[in-house]
Amino acid sequence: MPHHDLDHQVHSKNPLAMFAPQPLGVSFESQEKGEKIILLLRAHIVTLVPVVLEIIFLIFLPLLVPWVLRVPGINLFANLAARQVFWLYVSWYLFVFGFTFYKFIFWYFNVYLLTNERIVDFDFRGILHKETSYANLNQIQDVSPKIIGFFGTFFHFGNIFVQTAAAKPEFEFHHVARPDSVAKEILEQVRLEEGEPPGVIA
Amino acid sequence: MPIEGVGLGFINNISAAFGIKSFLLLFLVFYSVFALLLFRQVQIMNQKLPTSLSPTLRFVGILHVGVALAVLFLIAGIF
Repeated sequence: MPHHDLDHQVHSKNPLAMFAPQPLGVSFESQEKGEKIILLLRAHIVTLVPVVLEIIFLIFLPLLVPWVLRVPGINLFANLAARQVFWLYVSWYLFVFGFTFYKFIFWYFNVYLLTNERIVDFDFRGILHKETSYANLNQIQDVSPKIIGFFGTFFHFGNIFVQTAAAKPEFEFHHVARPDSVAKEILEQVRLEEGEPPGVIA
Repeated sequence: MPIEGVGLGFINNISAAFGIKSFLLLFLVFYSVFALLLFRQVQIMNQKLPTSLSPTLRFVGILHVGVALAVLFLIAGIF
């Protein structure tokens, strides 16, 4: 077996994993009895680098702004007491924390699942927009992994397009690690599902 | 009353501190609503996809709402 194929003996214990084979301690709302999660996927950790840079920028912004304004001779806090400046900083860092938490939640709950029965796409698109889509394995028609760009090639992540006969005709797994291994595993699970009698969960 | 008397002179009496306090209070009201929405989202997603991190996320969500409200009331009271 090539080293990049999925090892079915491995159980991921890391709750923050971006590529978690048979994750322990994870289930989902409509999971059926006997249905097992084969793979849990999130966007590759590298896709979080711009967000981390934004957060670092926001952390240092209150130190940067008074320093820059001092050059043309503007003292931003001249008319404020130390107590008031303190509360301004508290409010700012509360906002930075909220932004960080939101971005983390956004990444953490944008999850793709492959089970022995179906694929599930938890789409968390914004604070007021979330969507869950399901497609049974026997409805999958085509799976095509794509690795595009410098970072995708260098860090080995990409998109997987799954054509289905389900209510949602195309599933897109965005920026997932090892897209070729994932596509191979989906096809393997489809093949196993086709070998089962209808209605059997195994 | 002559119109100059009514004037905009009262604007001069509004201190920078009052302006900043008003802005912060407005910001924190909206921020608290955002924190509440975030907490609700975490709750819903924890129901949909329970993981070993779910209790921690719920705790952070509650803490976030609590701190946002505490900062709102503290600024309203002692800024």
